[in-house]
Amino acid sequence: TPCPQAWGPPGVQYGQPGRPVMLCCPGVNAGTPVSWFRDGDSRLLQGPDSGLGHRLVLAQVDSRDEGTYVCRTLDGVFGGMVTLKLGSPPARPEVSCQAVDYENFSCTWSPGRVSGLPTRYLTSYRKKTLPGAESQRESPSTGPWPCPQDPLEASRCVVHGAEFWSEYRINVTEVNPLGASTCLLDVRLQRILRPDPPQGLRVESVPGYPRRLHASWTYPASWRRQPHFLLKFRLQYRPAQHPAWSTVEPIGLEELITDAVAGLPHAVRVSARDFLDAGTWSAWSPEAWGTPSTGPLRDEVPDGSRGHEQKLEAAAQEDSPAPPSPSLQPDPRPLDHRDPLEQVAVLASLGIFSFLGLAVGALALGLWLRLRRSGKDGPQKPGFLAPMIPGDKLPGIPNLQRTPENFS
Amino acid sequence: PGPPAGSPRVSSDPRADLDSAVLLTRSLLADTRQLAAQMRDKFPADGDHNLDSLPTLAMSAGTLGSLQLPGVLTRLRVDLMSYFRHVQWLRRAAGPSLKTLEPELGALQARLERLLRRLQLLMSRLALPQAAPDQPAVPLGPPASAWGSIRAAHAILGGLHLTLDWAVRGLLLLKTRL
Repeated sequence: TPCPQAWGPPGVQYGQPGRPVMLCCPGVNAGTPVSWFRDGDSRLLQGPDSGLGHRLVLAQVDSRDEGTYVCRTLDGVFGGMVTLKLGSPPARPEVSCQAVDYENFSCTWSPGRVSGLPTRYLTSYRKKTLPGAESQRESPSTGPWPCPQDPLEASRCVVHGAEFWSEYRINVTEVNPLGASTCLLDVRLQRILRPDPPQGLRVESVPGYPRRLHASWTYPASWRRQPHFLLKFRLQYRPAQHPAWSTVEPIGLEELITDAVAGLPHAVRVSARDFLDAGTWSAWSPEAWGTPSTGPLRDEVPDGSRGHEQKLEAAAQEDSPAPPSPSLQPDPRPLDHRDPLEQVAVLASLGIFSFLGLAVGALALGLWLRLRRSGKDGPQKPGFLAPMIPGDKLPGIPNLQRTPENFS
Repeated sequence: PGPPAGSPRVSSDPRADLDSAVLLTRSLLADTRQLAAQMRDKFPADGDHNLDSLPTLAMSAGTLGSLQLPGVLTRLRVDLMSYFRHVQWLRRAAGPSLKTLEPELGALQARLERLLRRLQLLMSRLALPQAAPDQPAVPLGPPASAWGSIRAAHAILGGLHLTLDWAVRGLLLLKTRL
Protein backbone atom coordinates (compact mmCIF):
# COMPACT_ATOMS: atom_id res chain seq x y z
CA THR A 1 0.00 0.00 0.00
CA PRO A 2 1.42 3.40 -0.95
CA CYS A 3 0.95 5.29 2.28
CA PRO A 4 0.27 2.95 5.20
CA GLN A 5 0.18 4.98 8.30
CA ALA A 6 -1.09 3.21 11.30
CA TRP A 7 2.15 3.60 13.17
CA GLY A 8 3.97 5.91 15.46
CA PRO A 9 3.21 9.55 16.05
CA PRO A 10 0.87 11.27 13.58
CA GLY A 11 2.49 12.88 10.57
CA VAL A 12 5.46 10.50 10.45
CA GLN A 13 5.99 8.18 7.54
CA TYR A 14 8.69 5.55 7.14
CA GLY A 15 11.02 4.28 4.46
CA GLN A 16 13.99 2.04 3.92
CA PRO A 17 17.36 3.36 2.72
CA GLY A 18 18.04 2.53 -0.94
CA ARG A 19 14.38 2.01 -1.72
CA PRO A 20 11.80 4.40 -3.25
CA VAL A 21 9.47 6.05 -0.78
CA MET A 22 6.00 7.43 -1.35
CA LEU A 23 4.74 10.15 1.00
CA CYS A 24 1.06 11.16 1.19
CA CYS A 25 -0.21 14.61 1.93
CA PRO A 26 -2.22 14.26 5.12
CA GLY A 27 -5.82 15.44 5.24
CA VAL A 28 -6.17 15.69 1.45
CA ASN A 29 -8.46 13.49 -0.63
CA ALA A 30 -6.71 10.89 -2.73
CA GLY A 31 -5.86 12.27 -6.20
CA THR A 32 -5.99 15.94 -5.20
CA PRO A 33 -3.00 17.62 -6.88
CA VAL A 34 -0.56 19.20 -4.42
CA SER A 35 2.87 20.83 -4.46
CA TRP A 36 5.68 19.46 -2.31
CA PHE A 37 8.54 21.33 -0.58
CA ARG A 38 11.19 20.51 2.04
CA ASP A 39 10.39 22.29 5.25
CA GLY A 40 12.25 25.59 5.33
CA ASP A 41 13.15 25.42 1.65
CA SER A 42 11.07 27.28 -0.94
CA ARG A 43 12.35 25.22 -3.86
CA LEU A 44 9.60 23.10 -5.41
CA LEU A 45 10.23 19.37 -5.10
CA GLN A 46 7.26 18.14 -7.05
CA GLY A 47 4.60 20.25 -8.75
CA PRO A 48 0.84 19.68 -8.89
CA ASP A 49 1.08 18.57 -12.52
CA SER A 50 3.16 15.49 -11.67
CA GLY A 51 0.14 13.26 -12.13
CA LEU A 52 0.74 11.69 -8.73
CA GLY A 53 -2.05 13.59 -7.02
CA HIS A 54 -1.49 13.92 -3.29
CA ARG A 55 1.60 11.71 -3.30
CA LEU A 56 5.31 12.48 -3.41
CA VAL A 57 7.67 9.85 -4.78
CA LEU A 58 11.32 9.86 -3.70
CA ALA A 59 13.58 7.41 -5.56
CA GLN A 60 16.26 5.56 -3.56
CA VAL A 61 16.15 7.52 -0.35
CA ASP A 62 19.12 7.89 1.94
CA SER A 63 19.71 9.54 5.27
CA ARG A 64 19.80 12.98 3.64
CA ASP A 65 16.16 12.56 2.68
CA GLU A 66 15.06 12.19 6.26
CA GLY A 67 13.21 15.19 7.56
CA THR A 68 9.98 17.13 7.18
CA TYR A 69 8.13 17.69 3.92
CA VAL A 70 5.37 20.25 3.30
CA CYS A 71 2.47 19.79 0.90
CA ARG A 72 0.08 22.48 -0.28
CA THR A 73 -3.05 22.41 -2.47
CA LEU A 74 -3.24 24.49 -5.65
CA ASP A 75 -5.29 27.24 -4.08
CA GLY A 76 -2.89 27.37 -1.17
CA VAL A 77 -5.76 27.02 1.25
CA PHE A 78 -4.73 23.71 2.69
CA GLY A 79 -1.35 22.35 3.56
CA GLY A 80 0.15 19.58 5.60
CA MET A 81 3.44 18.31 6.91
CA VAL A 82 4.95 14.85 6.79
CA THR A 83 8.13 13.69 8.48
CA LEU A 84 10.12 10.93 6.76
CA LYS A 85 12.06 8.56 8.98
CA LEU A 86 14.23 5.78 7.61
CA GLY A 87 14.87 2.38 9.07
CA SER A 88 14.84 -1.35 8.33
CA PRO A 89 12.08 -3.90 8.16
CA PRO A 90 12.15 -6.38 11.05
CA ALA A 91 14.52 -9.32 11.04
CA ARG A 92 13.43 -12.54 12.67
CA PRO A 93 13.48 -11.99 16.45
CA GLU A 94 15.54 -14.22 18.70
CA VAL A 95 13.30 -16.06 21.14
CA SER A 96 14.02 -18.28 24.10
CA CYS A 97 11.69 -19.78 26.67
CA GLN A 98 12.33 -20.60 30.30
CA ALA A 99 10.46 -22.37 33.07
CA VAL A 100 11.37 -22.09 36.72
CA ASP A 101 8.46 -24.27 37.79
CA TYR A 102 6.38 -27.06 36.34
CA GLU A 103 3.20 -25.11 35.57
CA ASN A 104 4.24 -21.91 33.82
CA PHE A 105 6.79 -20.79 31.33
CA SER A 106 7.89 -17.48 29.92
CA CYS A 107 9.41 -16.50 26.63
CA THR A 108 11.72 -13.57 26.04
CA TRP A 109 12.88 -12.12 22.78
CA SER A 110 15.23 -9.58 21.30
CA PRO A 111 15.22 -8.02 17.85
CA GLY A 112 17.21 -9.80 15.16
CA ARG A 113 18.58 -6.37 14.21
CA VAL A 114 17.97 -2.82 15.33
CA SER A 115 15.44 -1.32 12.95
CA GLY A 116 15.46 2.21 14.32
CA LEU A 117 11.69 2.28 13.91
CA PRO A 118 8.78 1.94 16.28
CA THR A 119 8.32 -1.78 16.84
CA ARG A 120 5.83 -3.99 18.53
CA TYR A 121 5.62 -7.72 19.06
CA LEU A 122 2.67 -10.03 18.60
CA THR A 123 2.97 -13.09 20.79
CA SER A 124 0.85 -16.21 20.70
CA TYR A 125 1.14 -19.92 21.29
CA ARG A 126 -0.64 -23.11 20.42
CA LYS A 127 -0.42 -26.62 21.68
CA LYS A 128 1.12 -29.24 19.46
CA THR A 129 -0.62 -32.52 19.97
CA LEU A 130 2.29 -34.86 20.22
CA PRO A 131 3.01 -37.59 19.72
CA GLY A 132 0.09 -38.37 17.39
CA ALA A 133 -3.57 -37.49 16.95
CA GLU A 134 -3.81 -35.77 13.58
CA SER A 135 -7.50 -35.17 14.22
CA GLN A 136 -6.78 -32.97 17.22
CA ARG A 137 -4.37 -30.65 15.48
CA GLU A 138 -7.02 -28.13 14.46
CA SER A 139 -9.09 -28.54 17.59
CA PRO A 140 -10.00 -25.37 19.52
CA SER A 141 -8.34 -26.91 22.54
CA THR A 142 -5.00 -26.47 20.82
CA GLY A 143 -5.17 -22.70 20.35
CA PRO A 144 -3.71 -20.43 19.21
CA TRP A 145 -4.02 -18.20 22.24
CA PRO A 146 -2.31 -14.89 22.93
CA CYS A 147 0.78 -15.13 25.10
CA PRO A 148 0.14 -12.25 27.52
CA GLN A 149 3.00 -9.78 27.55
CA ASP A 150 4.40 -8.69 30.85
CA PRO A 151 3.34 -5.07 31.37
CA LEU A 152 6.28 -4.38 33.65
CA GLU A 153 9.00 -6.24 31.84
CA ALA A 154 9.41 -5.55 28.16
CA SER A 155 10.06 -8.37 25.70
CA ARG A 156 8.56 -11.12 27.82
CA CYS A 157 5.31 -13.04 27.77
CA VAL A 158 4.10 -15.68 30.17
CA VAL A 159 2.04 -18.83 29.65
CA HIS A 160 0.28 -19.87 32.82
CA GLY A 161 -1.07 -23.33 33.58
CA ALA A 162 0.82 -25.08 30.79
CA GLU A 163 0.70 -28.83 30.38
CA PHE A 164 3.96 -30.27 31.63
CA TRP A 165 4.30 -33.01 29.01
CA SER A 166 2.83 -31.21 25.98
CA GLU A 167 4.71 -29.39 23.31
CA TYR A 168 3.82 -25.81 22.49
CA ARG A 169 4.63 -23.73 19.45
CA ILE A 170 5.42 -20.13 20.36
CA ASN A 171 4.95 -17.45 17.74
CA VAL A 172 6.74 -14.14 18.26
CA THR A 173 6.22 -11.71 15.38
CA GLU A 174 8.12 -8.47 15.25
CA VAL A 175 6.16 -5.78 13.44
CA ASN A 176 7.27 -2.29 12.41
CA PRO A 177 5.99 0.14 9.76
CA LEU A 178 8.05 -1.59 7.10
CA GLY A 179 6.90 -5.15 7.65
CA ALA A 180 6.79 -8.15 9.96
CA SER A 181 8.98 -11.13 10.72
CA THR A 182 8.08 -14.23 12.70
CA CYS A 183 10.01 -16.67 14.86
CA LEU A 184 8.39 -19.99 15.71
CA LEU A 185 9.80 -21.94 18.62
CA ASP A 186 8.71 -25.34 19.92
CA VAL A 187 8.98 -25.78 23.66
CA ARG A 188 8.04 -28.39 26.19
CA LEU A 189 7.96 -27.63 29.91
CA GLN A 190 9.40 -31.03 30.67
CA ARG A 191 12.46 -30.14 28.60
CA ILE A 192 13.04 -26.46 29.40
CA LEU A 193 12.43 -26.73 33.13
CA ARG A 194 15.23 -25.07 35.07
CA PRO A 195 14.41 -24.34 38.68
CA ASP A 196 15.63 -21.27 40.47
CA PRO A 197 18.62 -21.93 42.71
CA PRO A 198 17.86 -23.15 46.23
CA GLN A 199 17.44 -20.42 48.81
CA GLY A 200 18.50 -19.72 52.35
CA LEU A 201 21.78 -21.60 52.19
CA ARG A 202 23.40 -21.66 55.63
CA VAL A 203 26.72 -23.17 56.59
CA GLU A 204 27.35 -23.80 60.26
CA SER A 205 30.16 -25.32 62.22
CA VAL A 206 29.49 -28.37 64.36
CA PRO A 207 30.79 -27.70 67.88
CA GLY A 208 33.50 -30.13 68.87
CA TYR A 209 34.09 -31.38 65.31
CA PRO A 210 36.91 -29.46 63.63
CA ARG A 211 36.39 -31.12 60.24
CA ARG A 212 32.63 -30.84 59.98
CA LEU A 213 30.33 -28.29 58.49
CA HIS A 214 26.58 -28.50 58.39
CA ALA A 215 24.87 -26.97 55.33
CA SER A 216 21.13 -26.46 54.98
CA TRP A 217 18.90 -24.73 52.45
CA THR A 218 15.31 -24.51 51.30
CA TYR A 219 13.37 -24.99 48.09
CA PRO A 220 13.31 -21.94 45.82
CA ALA A 221 10.20 -19.88 46.47
CA SER A 222 9.13 -20.30 42.85
CA TRP A 223 8.81 -24.09 43.21
CA ARG A 224 5.65 -25.44 44.80
CA ARG A 225 6.73 -28.64 46.49
CA GLN A 226 4.43 -31.56 45.83
CA PRO A 227 4.93 -35.31 46.23
CA HIS A 228 5.12 -35.73 42.48
CA PHE A 229 7.20 -32.64 41.77
CA LEU A 230 10.22 -32.72 44.04
CA LEU A 231 13.70 -31.35 43.61
CA LYS A 232 17.01 -33.06 44.03
CA PHE A 233 20.15 -31.16 44.91
CA ARG A 234 23.88 -31.13 44.45
CA LEU A 235 26.21 -29.35 46.75
CA GLN A 236 29.72 -28.12 46.17
CA TYR A 237 32.23 -26.99 48.73
CA ARG A 238 35.87 -25.96 48.82
CA PRO A 239 38.24 -24.47 51.32
CA ALA A 240 39.22 -20.84 50.79
CA GLN A 241 42.00 -20.46 48.22
CA HIS A 242 41.42 -23.99 46.96
CA PRO A 243 40.28 -23.79 43.34
CA ALA A 244 38.58 -27.18 42.96
CA TRP A 245 35.11 -27.93 44.23
CA SER A 246 34.10 -31.20 45.83
CA THR A 247 30.60 -32.28 44.83
CA VAL A 248 28.04 -34.38 46.67
CA GLU A 249 24.39 -35.14 45.99
CA PRO A 250 22.59 -34.74 49.29
CA ILE A 251 19.46 -36.70 50.02
CA GLY A 252 17.40 -33.93 51.55
CA LEU A 253 17.69 -30.30 52.38
CA GLU A 254 20.88 -30.56 54.38
CA GLU A 255 24.32 -32.07 54.21
CA LEU A 256 26.99 -32.81 56.77
CA ILE A 257 30.43 -32.21 55.34
CA THR A 258 32.92 -34.33 57.26
CA ASP A 259 36.13 -33.65 55.39
CA ALA A 260 36.43 -29.91 55.82
CA VAL A 261 39.92 -28.55 56.36
CA ALA A 262 40.20 -27.59 60.00
CA GLY A 263 40.54 -23.91 60.64
CA LEU A 264 39.86 -22.80 57.07
CA PRO A 265 36.75 -21.00 55.88
CA HIS A 266 34.83 -22.97 53.23
CA ALA A 267 32.64 -21.80 50.40
CA VAL A 268 29.50 -23.82 49.82
CA ARG A 269 26.91 -23.60 47.05
CA VAL A 270 23.93 -25.70 45.97
CA SER A 271 21.87 -26.18 42.84
CA ALA A 272 18.60 -27.97 42.19
CA ARG A 273 16.99 -30.10 39.52
CA ASP A 274 13.70 -31.90 39.06
CA PHE A 275 14.01 -35.24 40.83
CA LEU A 276 13.25 -37.19 37.64
CA ASP A 277 15.86 -35.25 35.68
CA ALA A 278 13.39 -33.25 33.64
CA GLY A 279 15.03 -30.12 32.25
CA THR A 280 18.39 -29.03 33.57
CA TRP A 281 20.17 -28.12 36.77
CA SER A 282 19.53 -24.69 38.21
CA ALA A 283 22.21 -22.09 38.44
CA TRP A 284 24.32 -22.29 41.58
CA SER A 285 23.05 -20.49 44.61
CA PRO A 286 25.11 -17.61 45.94
CA GLU A 287 28.02 -18.98 47.92
CA ALA A 288 27.71 -19.22 51.66
CA TRP A 289 30.77 -19.44 53.90
CA GLY A 290 31.48 -21.30 57.07
CA THR A 291 34.49 -22.31 59.16
CA PRO A 292 34.65 -25.56 61.10
CA SER A 293 34.52 -25.30 64.84
CA THR A 294 37.76 -24.68 66.70
CA GLY A 295 36.33 -25.53 70.10
CA PRO A 296 37.17 -28.57 72.23
CA LEU A 297 37.39 -31.81 70.25
CA ARG A 298 34.93 -34.65 70.20
CA ASP A 299 35.45 -38.11 68.80
CA GLU A 300 34.74 -38.26 65.06
CA VAL A 301 32.99 -41.59 64.62
CA PRO A 302 32.86 -42.78 61.04
CA ASP A 303 29.29 -43.13 59.91
CA GLY A 304 28.79 -46.18 57.71
CA SER A 305 25.73 -44.70 56.02
CA ARG A 306 27.69 -41.78 54.65
CA GLY A 307 30.30 -43.60 52.67
CA HIS A 308 30.56 -40.98 49.95
CA GLU A 309 31.69 -38.41 52.44
CA GLN A 310 34.53 -40.62 53.51
CA LYS A 311 35.49 -41.32 49.91
CA LEU A 312 35.39 -37.60 49.20
CA GLU A 313 37.51 -36.98 52.22
CA ALA A 314 40.19 -39.23 50.83
CA ALA A 315 39.87 -37.73 47.36
CA ALA A 316 39.98 -34.18 48.67
CA GLN A 317 43.15 -34.88 50.56
CA GLU A 318 44.77 -36.46 47.49
CA ASP A 319 43.77 -33.53 45.28
CA SER A 320 44.75 -30.83 47.65
CA PRO A 321 47.65 -28.77 46.25
CA ALA A 322 48.58 -27.62 49.72
CA PRO A 323 49.76 -30.13 52.27
CA PRO A 324 46.76 -31.15 54.32
CA SER A 325 46.57 -29.55 57.68
CA PRO A 326 47.25 -31.87 60.56
CA SER A 327 44.07 -33.88 60.91
CA LEU A 328 42.51 -33.59 64.28
CA GLN A 329 40.27 -36.53 63.55
CA PRO A 330 41.06 -39.43 65.90
CA ASP A 331 41.55 -42.93 64.60
CA PRO A 332 38.38 -44.84 63.84
CA ARG A 333 37.13 -46.79 66.77
CA PRO A 334 37.65 -50.54 66.78
CA LEU A 335 34.98 -52.93 65.53
CA ASP A 336 33.43 -53.65 68.92
CA HIS A 337 32.26 -50.02 69.19
CA ARG A 338 30.03 -50.32 66.15
CA ASP A 339 26.30 -50.58 66.02
CA PRO A 340 25.21 -53.82 67.79
CA LEU A 341 23.00 -54.69 64.83
CA GLU A 342 26.02 -54.49 62.55
CA GLN A 343 27.96 -56.84 64.83
CA VAL A 344 25.13 -59.35 64.74
CA ALA A 345 25.05 -59.13 60.95
CA VAL A 346 28.82 -59.69 60.72
CA LEU A 347 28.65 -62.70 63.01
CA ALA A 348 25.74 -64.16 61.08
CA SER A 349 27.62 -63.72 57.79
CA LEU A 350 30.70 -65.43 59.23
CA GLY A 351 28.53 -68.32 60.39
CA ILE A 352 26.90 -68.72 57.00
CA PHE A 353 30.24 -68.64 55.19
CA SER A 354 31.69 -71.24 57.56
CA PHE A 355 28.72 -73.49 57.03
CA LEU A 356 28.91 -73.13 53.26
CA GLY A 357 32.64 -73.88 53.33
CA LEU A 358 32.07 -77.06 55.31
CA ALA A 359 29.26 -78.16 53.01
CA VAL A 360 31.37 -77.64 49.89
CA GLY A 361 34.24 -79.55 51.50
CA ALA A 362 32.00 -82.47 52.39
CA LEU A 363 30.54 -82.56 48.86
CA ALA A 364 34.01 -82.55 47.30
CA LEU A 365 35.11 -85.38 49.58
CA GLY A 366 32.02 -87.41 48.68
CA LEU A 367 32.59 -86.92 44.97
CA TRP A 368 36.25 -87.86 45.29
CA LEU A 369 35.37 -91.08 47.09
CA ARG A 370 32.75 -91.93 44.47
CA LEU A 371 35.16 -91.27 41.64
CA ARG A 372 37.74 -93.51 43.25
CA ARG A 373 35.17 -96.29 43.62
CA SER A 374 34.01 -95.87 39.98
CA GLY A 375 37.59 -95.92 38.79
CA LYS A 376 38.01 -99.24 40.54
CA ASP A 377 34.69 -100.65 39.22
CA GLY A 378 35.33 -99.90 35.54
CA PRO A 379 35.19 -97.09 32.93
CA GLN A 380 33.31 -93.95 33.89
CA LYS A 381 29.70 -93.77 32.72
CA PRO A 382 29.02 -90.75 30.49
CA GLY A 383 26.82 -87.97 31.87
CA PHE A 384 26.83 -89.12 35.44
CA LEU A 385 26.22 -85.52 36.59
CA ALA A 386 23.29 -85.12 34.23
CA PRO A 387 20.61 -85.20 36.91
CA MET A 388 22.31 -82.20 38.59
CA ILE A 389 22.34 -80.05 35.44
CA PRO A 390 19.21 -78.29 34.18
CA GLY A 391 18.05 -79.58 30.81
CA ASP A 392 18.50 -76.29 28.97
CA LYS A 393 22.15 -76.07 30.06
CA LEU A 394 23.07 -79.44 28.54
CA PRO A 395 25.15 -79.21 25.39
CA GLY A 396 23.11 -79.54 22.21
CA ILE A 397 19.90 -78.13 23.71
CA PRO A 398 19.36 -74.54 22.58
CA ASN A 399 18.33 -71.97 25.17
CA LEU A 400 14.96 -70.80 23.84
CA GLN A 401 13.94 -68.42 26.59
CA ARG A 402 16.78 -65.96 26.77
CA THR A 403 15.62 -62.46 27.35
CA PRO A 404 18.09 -59.65 27.94
CA GLU A 405 17.34 -57.98 31.25
CA ASN A 406 19.49 -54.91 30.94
CA PHE A 407 20.03 -52.45 28.20
CA SER A 408 23.64 -51.70 28.58
CA PRO B 1 -1.20 -59.49 21.65
CA GLY B 2 -1.21 -58.45 25.25
CA PRO B 3 1.56 -59.15 27.65
CA PRO B 4 1.81 -62.80 28.50
CA ALA B 5 0.50 -63.88 31.85
CA GLY B 6 3.05 -64.17 34.56
CA SER B 7 3.27 -64.31 38.28
CA PRO B 8 5.65 -61.67 39.56
CA ARG B 9 6.51 -62.00 43.19
CA VAL B 10 4.67 -59.30 45.05
CA SER B 11 3.53 -58.79 48.57
CA SER B 12 -0.08 -58.66 49.65
CA ASP B 13 0.31 -55.03 50.68
CA PRO B 14 -0.87 -52.68 47.91
CA ARG B 15 1.50 -49.97 49.15
CA ALA B 16 4.43 -52.34 48.70
CA ASP B 17 3.09 -53.26 45.27
CA LEU B 18 2.88 -49.60 44.42
CA ASP B 19 6.43 -49.03 45.68
CA SER B 20 7.62 -51.83 43.49
CA ALA B 21 5.75 -50.42 40.48
CA VAL B 22 7.31 -46.99 41.13
CA LEU B 23 10.79 -48.48 41.23
CA LEU B 24 10.23 -50.44 38.07
CA THR B 25 8.77 -47.45 36.24
CA ARG B 26 11.52 -45.17 37.41
CA SER B 27 14.26 -47.46 36.27
CA LEU B 28 12.51 -47.93 32.94
CA LEU B 29 12.29 -44.15 32.64
CA ALA B 30 16.04 -43.83 33.14
CA ASP B 31 16.76 -46.56 30.61
CA THR B 32 14.35 -45.13 28.06
CA ARG B 33 15.98 -41.74 28.41
CA GLN B 34 19.33 -43.36 27.79
CA LEU B 35 18.04 -45.28 24.80
CA ALA B 36 16.42 -42.16 23.32
CA ALA B 37 19.76 -40.36 23.69
CA GLN B 38 21.53 -43.29 22.06
CA MET B 39 19.01 -43.12 19.23
CA ARG B 40 19.66 -39.40 18.78
CA ASP B 41 23.40 -40.08 18.70
CA LYS B 42 23.16 -42.82 16.13
CA PHE B 43 20.39 -41.33 14.02
CA PRO B 44 20.40 -37.56 14.52
CA ALA B 45 17.06 -36.23 13.37
CA ASP B 46 15.85 -32.82 14.47
CA GLY B 47 12.27 -31.80 14.11
CA ASP B 48 8.89 -33.37 14.68
CA HIS B 49 8.59 -37.11 14.83
CA ASN B 50 4.99 -38.12 15.22
CA LEU B 51 3.05 -41.30 14.92
CA ASP B 52 -0.66 -40.81 14.88
CA SER B 53 -1.22 -44.21 16.43
CA LEU B 54 0.61 -43.28 19.65
CA PRO B 55 -1.42 -42.18 22.65
CA THR B 56 -1.54 -38.46 23.37
CA LEU B 57 -0.54 -37.10 26.71
CA ALA B 58 -2.17 -33.74 27.35
CA MET B 59 -2.25 -32.99 31.02
CA SER B 60 -1.06 -30.33 33.42
CA ALA B 61 0.61 -31.07 36.74
CA GLY B 62 -2.55 -29.82 38.43
CA THR B 63 -4.77 -32.19 36.46
CA LEU B 64 -2.54 -35.11 37.33
CA GLY B 65 -2.82 -34.08 40.97
CA SER B 66 -6.59 -34.29 40.80
CA LEU B 67 -6.73 -37.78 39.24
CA GLN B 68 -7.87 -40.67 41.34
CA LEU B 69 -6.20 -44.03 41.59
CA PRO B 70 -8.34 -45.95 39.09
CA GLY B 71 -7.95 -43.17 36.52
CA VAL B 72 -4.16 -43.11 36.71
CA LEU B 73 -3.68 -46.86 36.69
CA THR B 74 -6.14 -47.53 33.89
CA ARG B 75 -4.75 -44.76 31.72
CA LEU B 76 -1.19 -45.84 32.41
CA ARG B 77 -1.90 -49.44 31.55
CA VAL B 78 -3.67 -48.54 28.30
CA ASP B 79 -0.89 -46.22 27.22
CA LEU B 80 1.90 -48.60 28.14
CA MET B 81 0.13 -51.37 26.31
CA SER B 82 0.10 -49.18 23.23
CA TYR B 83 3.83 -48.48 23.58
CA PHE B 84 4.45 -52.19 24.10
CA ARG B 85 2.71 -52.91 20.79
CA HIS B 86 4.61 -50.14 19.05
CA VAL B 87 7.98 -51.42 20.25
CA GLN B 88 6.96 -54.89 19.12
CA TRP B 89 6.00 -53.47 15.75
CA LEU B 90 9.20 -51.47 15.47
CA ARG B 91 11.33 -54.55 16.05
CA ARG B 92 9.36 -56.54 13.53
CA ALA B 93 8.92 -53.97 10.80
CA ALA B 94 11.82 -51.57 11.10
CA GLY B 95 14.13 -53.41 8.74
CA PRO B 96 17.91 -53.29 8.79
CA SER B 97 18.30 -49.62 9.70
CA LEU B 98 17.52 -50.22 13.37
CA LYS B 99 19.23 -53.57 13.67
CA THR B 100 22.03 -52.06 15.73
CA LEU B 101 19.51 -51.18 18.41
CA GLU B 102 17.77 -54.55 18.38
CA PRO B 103 19.19 -55.79 21.72
CA GLU B 104 18.14 -52.57 23.44
CA LEU B 105 14.68 -52.61 21.85
CA GLY B 106 14.25 -56.25 22.85
CA ALA B 107 15.20 -55.42 26.42
CA LEU B 108 12.85 -52.46 26.40
CA GLN B 109 9.98 -54.64 25.26
CA ALA B 110 10.71 -57.17 28.00
CA ARG B 111 10.83 -54.45 30.65
CA LEU B 112 7.57 -52.95 29.43
CA GLU B 113 5.98 -56.37 29.59
CA ARG B 114 7.18 -56.81 33.15
CA LEU B 115 5.84 -53.42 34.19
CA LEU B 116 2.48 -54.18 32.56
CA ARG B 117 2.23 -57.40 34.51
CA ARG B 118 3.04 -55.56 37.71
CA LEU B 119 0.34 -52.97 37.01
CA GLN B 120 -2.14 -55.69 36.17
CA LEU B 121 -1.45 -57.35 39.47
CA LEU B 122 -1.70 -54.08 41.36
CA MET B 123 -5.04 -53.37 39.76
CA SER B 124 -6.38 -56.77 40.65
CA ARG B 125 -5.21 -56.34 44.23
CA LEU B 126 -7.04 -53.05 44.37
CA ALA B 127 -10.07 -54.66 42.70
CA LEU B 128 -9.97 -52.19 39.82
CA PRO B 129 -11.62 -53.09 36.51
CA GLN B 130 -9.18 -54.00 33.74
CA ALA B 131 -11.40 -54.02 30.69
CA ALA B 132 -9.88 -51.13 28.82
CA PRO B 133 -6.49 -52.61 27.81
CA ASP B 134 -8.15 -55.52 26.09
CA GLN B 135 -9.75 -53.40 23.39
CA PRO B 136 -8.59 -54.45 19.93
CA ALA B 137 -5.41 -52.75 18.80
CA VAL B 138 -5.32 -50.97 15.49
CA PRO B 139 -2.92 -52.88 13.22
CA LEU B 140 0.18 -50.88 12.36
CA GLY B 141 1.31 -50.78 8.78
CA PRO B 142 4.97 -51.13 7.83
CA PRO B 143 7.03 -47.91 7.77
CA ALA B 144 7.15 -46.29 4.35
CA SER B 145 10.95 -46.23 4.26
CA ALA B 146 14.08 -46.69 6.33
CA TRP B 147 13.81 -43.03 7.23
CA GLY B 148 10.19 -43.65 8.22
CA SER B 149 11.21 -46.32 10.68
CA ILE B 150 13.87 -44.09 12.19
CA ARG B 151 11.33 -41.31 12.62
CA ALA B 152 8.93 -43.81 14.16
CA ALA B 153 11.61 -44.97 16.60
CA HIS B 154 12.27 -41.36 17.63
CA ALA B 155 8.55 -40.80 18.12
CA ILE B 156 8.03 -43.99 20.12
CA LEU B 157 11.01 -43.47 22.41
CA GLY B 158 10.25 -39.78 22.91
CA GLY B 159 6.60 -40.47 23.69
CA LEU B 160 7.42 -43.37 25.98
CA HIS B 161 9.91 -41.25 27.87
CA LEU B 162 7.23 -38.65 28.56
CA THR B 163 4.65 -41.26 29.46
CA LEU B 164 7.00 -42.87 31.96
CA ASP B 165 7.82 -39.49 33.47
CA TRP B 166 4.09 -38.93 33.85
CA ALA B 167 3.67 -42.43 35.25
CA VAL B 168 6.30 -42.13 37.98
CA ARG B 169 4.80 -38.86 39.17
CA GLY B 170 1.29 -40.26 39.04
CA LEU B 171 2.24 -43.40 40.98
CA LEU B 172 4.09 -41.38 43.61
CA LEU B 173 1.05 -39.24 44.05
CA LEU B 174 -1.16 -42.28 44.43
CA LYS B 175 1.15 -43.60 47.12
CA THR B 176 0.32 -40.62 49.28
CA ARG B 177 -3.38 -41.42 48.96
CA LEU B 178 -3.35 -45.15 49.47
